[in-house]
Amino acid sequence: MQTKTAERPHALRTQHPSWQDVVRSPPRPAHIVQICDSDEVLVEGAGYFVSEGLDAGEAVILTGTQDHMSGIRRVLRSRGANPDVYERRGQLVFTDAEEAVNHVLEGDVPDRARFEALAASVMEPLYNDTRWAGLRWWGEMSNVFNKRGLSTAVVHDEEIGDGICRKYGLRLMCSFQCDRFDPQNYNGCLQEVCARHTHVIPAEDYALHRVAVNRAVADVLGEIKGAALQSLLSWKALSCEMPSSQAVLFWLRDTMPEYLPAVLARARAYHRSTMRRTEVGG
Amino acid sequence: MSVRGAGTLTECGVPGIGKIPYGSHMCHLYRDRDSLAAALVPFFAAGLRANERCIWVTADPLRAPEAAAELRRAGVDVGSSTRRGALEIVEFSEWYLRDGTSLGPEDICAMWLAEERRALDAGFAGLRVSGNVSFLTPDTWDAFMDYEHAVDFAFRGRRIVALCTYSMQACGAAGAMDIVRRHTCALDHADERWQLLGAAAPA
Repeated sequence: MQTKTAERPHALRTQHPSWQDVVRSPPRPAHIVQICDSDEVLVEGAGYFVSEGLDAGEAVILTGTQDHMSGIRRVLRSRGANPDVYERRGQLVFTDAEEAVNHVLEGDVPDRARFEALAASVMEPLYNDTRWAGLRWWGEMSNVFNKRGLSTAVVHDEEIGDGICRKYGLRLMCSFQCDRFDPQNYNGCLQEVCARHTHVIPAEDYALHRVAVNRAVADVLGEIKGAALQSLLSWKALSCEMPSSQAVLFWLRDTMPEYLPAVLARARAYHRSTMRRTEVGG
Repeated sequence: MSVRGAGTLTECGVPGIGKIPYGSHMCHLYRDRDSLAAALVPFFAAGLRANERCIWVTADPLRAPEAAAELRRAGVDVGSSTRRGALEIVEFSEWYLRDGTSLGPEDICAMWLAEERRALDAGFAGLRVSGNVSFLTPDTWDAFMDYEHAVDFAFRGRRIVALCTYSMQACGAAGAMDIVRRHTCALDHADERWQLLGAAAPA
């Protein structure tokens, strides 16, 4: 008989049907990354995360660009939360990501000691304040590093952030802007960024992403059988939680990179056409 | 693979696969009705030959009457096997739902383990089961994957072999990713040849 053996890969968890379920009440510690392809998606996601934290009586720190923090203020107001009130109360703290990046940067990478000291100076007063039920932090420092073309700094930043997250039992959410269907990003630091988080949010609509990826893979690869099925069985998934549709893209990147550009191009087309139909259909 | 002794192996029945260990929780991504029957008919015929109690939970595209007809075509005496309790062909709605409500993962696991106990007490060599889950919807998918995860642990070391069948077309690549990670091995039919892939495939 024909047999093959393989090491059993990590189990994937699929219990979050939407990104809102991921950020609403994540475990402690949780280090979440949302892959965003627009400013609107970024501020909506971050605003939801912050708003849920404030509602739960948690203190929240934001480290973002001025434009994005203005957008998050708008989102908070649209959800019935006045950021000025929370700020005066000391429950909400805004810090500038560009300034933070300039402060911690040593050459082309962040200096760990400086980063940790800066984080502690912002966090510890809130962490030790018994008025708050917990501590959330939303940030986009790695996004700023990425926009400056410092991809090594992105990975270092996330490693240091992950250590801080675990040390303080934080609910930490990062926003990372990139084109999720661009093959260049899969050759860059996208996978390494995801690997340094506990949860990955790859899309605003998980069902739509799944349909688009499934159709694209079926078009390009056909049925998953034979060598492709064996490869899927033996592939060592990232240990973070993410929708299976995103895991499939990382699997292709690792095992059949020659097919990834075609799959991503078709997934993008299906994603756009389905979104358009949804919008037209109301 | 860890073989737990000669007595813990049983014929799979699917051509070319040979013996598999009890406790195997296999999956199969089928193309169509015929490929589904091509896997399940020899699987159950072998179970009946091995004096195992066989429970076939059916759904589209191969419902209970058609499943029975396929077994008869393969030479299985369906009536006799059913009367002596060796064979039960049951629709998914009778097995996975009670009063129209989906059962939880623990409930269904407990039902399978109780069936194993009953089978052994009745003198059968073990329990052989298969469920086709074409009835799943996007809304019920994640809960069913939780069930598959629970079953994968619950069946280890038991006198049970299970073959869960999923439509490849309906699942897509993302579904395949979910499925293969919740089964000990996958039955594959590539190039007109059956093979068992995965960590628990017999060496």
